[in-house]
Amino acid sequence: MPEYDVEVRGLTKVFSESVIAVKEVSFGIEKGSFFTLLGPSGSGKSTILRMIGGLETPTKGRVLIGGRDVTALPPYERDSSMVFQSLALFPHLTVAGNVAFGLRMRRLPREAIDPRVNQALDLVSLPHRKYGGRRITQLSGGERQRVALARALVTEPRVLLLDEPFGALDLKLRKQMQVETKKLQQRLGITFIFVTHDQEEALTMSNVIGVINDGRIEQMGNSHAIYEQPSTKFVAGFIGEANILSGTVEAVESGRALVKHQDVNIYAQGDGVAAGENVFISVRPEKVRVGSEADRCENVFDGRVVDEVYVGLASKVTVQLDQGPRIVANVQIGSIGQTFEVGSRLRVGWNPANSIVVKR
Amino acid sequence: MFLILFLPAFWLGLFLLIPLFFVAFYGLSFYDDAYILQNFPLDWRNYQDALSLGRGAVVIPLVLRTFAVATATAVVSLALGYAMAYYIARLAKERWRGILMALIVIPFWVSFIVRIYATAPFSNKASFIHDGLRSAGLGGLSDFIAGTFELGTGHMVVFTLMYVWLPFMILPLFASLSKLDPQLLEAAHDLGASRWRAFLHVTLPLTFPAIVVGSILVFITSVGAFIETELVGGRAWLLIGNYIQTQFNIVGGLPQAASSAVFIIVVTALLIGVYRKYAELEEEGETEVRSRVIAPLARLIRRALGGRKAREPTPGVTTMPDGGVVAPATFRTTAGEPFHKPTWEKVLDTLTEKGGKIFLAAVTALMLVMFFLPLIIMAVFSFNSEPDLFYFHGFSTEWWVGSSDRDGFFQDRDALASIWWSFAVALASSLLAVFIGMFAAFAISRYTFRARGVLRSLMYLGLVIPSLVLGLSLAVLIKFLNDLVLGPLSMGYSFSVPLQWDYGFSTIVAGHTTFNIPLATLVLLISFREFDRTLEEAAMNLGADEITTFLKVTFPNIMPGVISAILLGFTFSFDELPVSLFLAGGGVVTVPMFIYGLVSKKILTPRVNAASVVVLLLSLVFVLVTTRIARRGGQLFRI
Repeated sequence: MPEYDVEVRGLTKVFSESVIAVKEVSFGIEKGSFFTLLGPSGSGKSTILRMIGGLETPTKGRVLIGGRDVTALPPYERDSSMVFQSLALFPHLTVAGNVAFGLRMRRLPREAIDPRVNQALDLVSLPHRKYGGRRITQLSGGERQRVALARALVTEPRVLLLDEPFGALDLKLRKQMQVETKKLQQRLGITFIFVTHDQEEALTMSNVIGVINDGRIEQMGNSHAIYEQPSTKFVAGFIGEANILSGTVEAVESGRALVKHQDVNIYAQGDGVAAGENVFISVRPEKVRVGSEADRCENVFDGRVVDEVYVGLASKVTVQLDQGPRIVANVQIGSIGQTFEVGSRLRVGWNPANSIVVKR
Repeated sequence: MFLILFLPAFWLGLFLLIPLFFVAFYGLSFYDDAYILQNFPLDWRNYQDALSLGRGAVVIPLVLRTFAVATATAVVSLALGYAMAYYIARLAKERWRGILMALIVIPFWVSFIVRIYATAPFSNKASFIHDGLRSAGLGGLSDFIAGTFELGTGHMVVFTLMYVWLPFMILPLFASLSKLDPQLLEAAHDLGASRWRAFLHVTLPLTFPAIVVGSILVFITSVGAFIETELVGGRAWLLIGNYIQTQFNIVGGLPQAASSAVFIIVVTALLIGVYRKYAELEEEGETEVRSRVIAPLARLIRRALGGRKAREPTPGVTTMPDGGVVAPATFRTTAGEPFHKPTWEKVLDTLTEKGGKIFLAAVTALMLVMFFLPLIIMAVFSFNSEPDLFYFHGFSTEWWVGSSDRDGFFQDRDALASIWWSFAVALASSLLAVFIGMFAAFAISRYTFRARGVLRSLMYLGLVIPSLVLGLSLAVLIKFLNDLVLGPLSMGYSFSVPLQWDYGFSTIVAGHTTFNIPLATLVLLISFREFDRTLEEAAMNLGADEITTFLKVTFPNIMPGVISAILLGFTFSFDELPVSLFLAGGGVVTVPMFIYGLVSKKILTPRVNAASVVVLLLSLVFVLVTTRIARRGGQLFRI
């Protein structure tokens, strides 16, 4: 069994009989990894984070930090720090005062506090000389973000918890903070647990992603696995875009499964499925070929274009297949030199490797 | 613009600000040998007497005692008020919060004369309460209560003032504590602060403006108290307010009353500035004063207390020349246990964690029982069959409807007249105040002008000024108008009878309107601020002129604020006593005055209870109606 830095076992949180926020969640996070809890709002991801930080008491289950059971400990005795969604910077203190807070609470002597505050502010590129004396109200959104990070890091926690900290930032600043936070994590080598509902943010930043829905972990894995091999219909639909078709496995032969969706026969990946199973098939729009390229695929269907949306480098084309379902394809502009007029005929196709079988 | 400002500025200037100078002016007057008040030549002897520290000095010792009592009251109120506000705002269940706050506010709106009168069975050792406690084997508790509530002691004076004015402390604290973002406390816990340290380092500094505001309110009110002390203080614990009122009421005492009232005026004026600063900070959600006067002063005090000022950390020790930072390996220098605490701190943590909530709940519950139990007992005793306030002999309604032996409350013409007068005064003054306050609130919320600061200061002055000073100064103003303006003028125009502004209904209404205007303005300001001004723009865009827009769009939208301002003013006026005492005359007696008359003359029968119950019930009705109407904006708790 690997040594986990943070581990939760059978974590459950019941707010009231009708509201069960977290249901029997268990996972372990290795030291130094960037772990993201990804899920829609209300899925229980923040509650899990707050239980790790001690701000919420679990109804059932245990939390271990560094191998030590901290379930019963108050937040101020845990070796974790949190960056809050609202940042929760103290308005009555300066930047330096905010950063020093955790050290003062630990009753460190002033000689020890000052250099560490400097160090933490340098870490987030807010030199003390310039920013230390400022008030929180005098900072921009990005600067506040950095102060919150510095304040959480200055106590040298074993694990840093981040609760959707970039929610209030505009897109550009958000991207920048994502990169910086990731770099910071790599440099410090401590465990980060990050909560977000933004799948792109999760995919770009994390070593490991735990996809959460309705209080349960749907799938855990790295970005690649989550995207390429979703294990549930929810994950397939939530991460990126997907054409999801339900069907029954008719036969499995030479690594390929034949799945029947209504009257359509689709060849799909055949690993671990047996004939007679009810499954879902997920096909990413960017894996769908159109026109002459479709001819080379094993799943080929004819249809009519019902919608086209231009999205910069690609065009998103919706095709109504003659045999029933609708398929969305992302077509790179220029790769085919063709426009897709609504109403025109179009052939679409994809390979069995790209129709991923999801069991539930 | 000028027209809008004229009315409120005129009223507050004439009845609030200028009278204060007349008080100072009459401090320089003297009575000649024929006992006629002379204003000239200026006579400085009254001030010399008031400031003297010699053997026969009266004023300075009284002032010192008053400040001591007021300070003690503010401190006790702060401790209790903070505990209660903290419990209600942060610990009590959400659905209990509104009810608890209503329970705090209800007694506040019952005339304090009634509330003090109601505590009599607790302070009198020969009463059913003490007998009951003794027979239940709780003689110790009985002794404790009798000791605490012993009339004529200093602690009873402090207790009574606290008892009556505690809501002044609770209301701002509650508002401030419920605004506090709970995530800030979570952040503090996360950063290693236990409950009590998070309180010390986050909650306390963030509620500091409210602490200052509440303390100043309680302090100034206590400085101006005189009826409370007269009822419970006995001879030994009279305060400066009693001296001023007695001097004012005896012939020849006016100069002395005026000159010693200047002490209170000066203190009030000094504190008004501080109050305004912190009240506005609180409104804006700021915590630090950026004033040229107060900030350096605070810094000085902090430095004097031992260099607690956050020293700037020595910059740039670890920054490397290329801007890089320390390597990951050295970043984490501590491991395992987060940190070690001394044992006393662990004990304190456990105590606050486990017992804090129960303790605060107990304090809140105890105070609420202390608020309501006397009122309930008082109501029950209005049905006593014997003229006894301390033992219940049997049920009877004769104190209400009368019997062959005695007249009941409803047969007492004076009592019924007093209710009528109270209604009339309250209605007139609250309507007038809202009318004038509307102009002021409109001007303050819509325009920026140089006099805005002055107007706001006047509002705060009217809100904070002790009733004693307001009453005295208006009485002096009226005296001045009668003696030196109206009298000579009417003589000059050879009227047969000199024209005079007689004490009576109009003077009382003038006084009540003056303290109601700031109240109405503040309530209406909230309404004006929450009102969406694009509605006005839309109306004008659709062809309505300014006046039509105001009448058809603005006014209907601020209606809840207007109604709650009227009700608030009505209740305050209905319960008001000190100002009425100074301005009454011509047979006009309000209900609180009627009760005060009986209580101070020690004519105590269950009929007084009946009159008090009437006040209690009326206040209760107003509170309920106001809370209902004001629920939308929650104005009630933002007084």
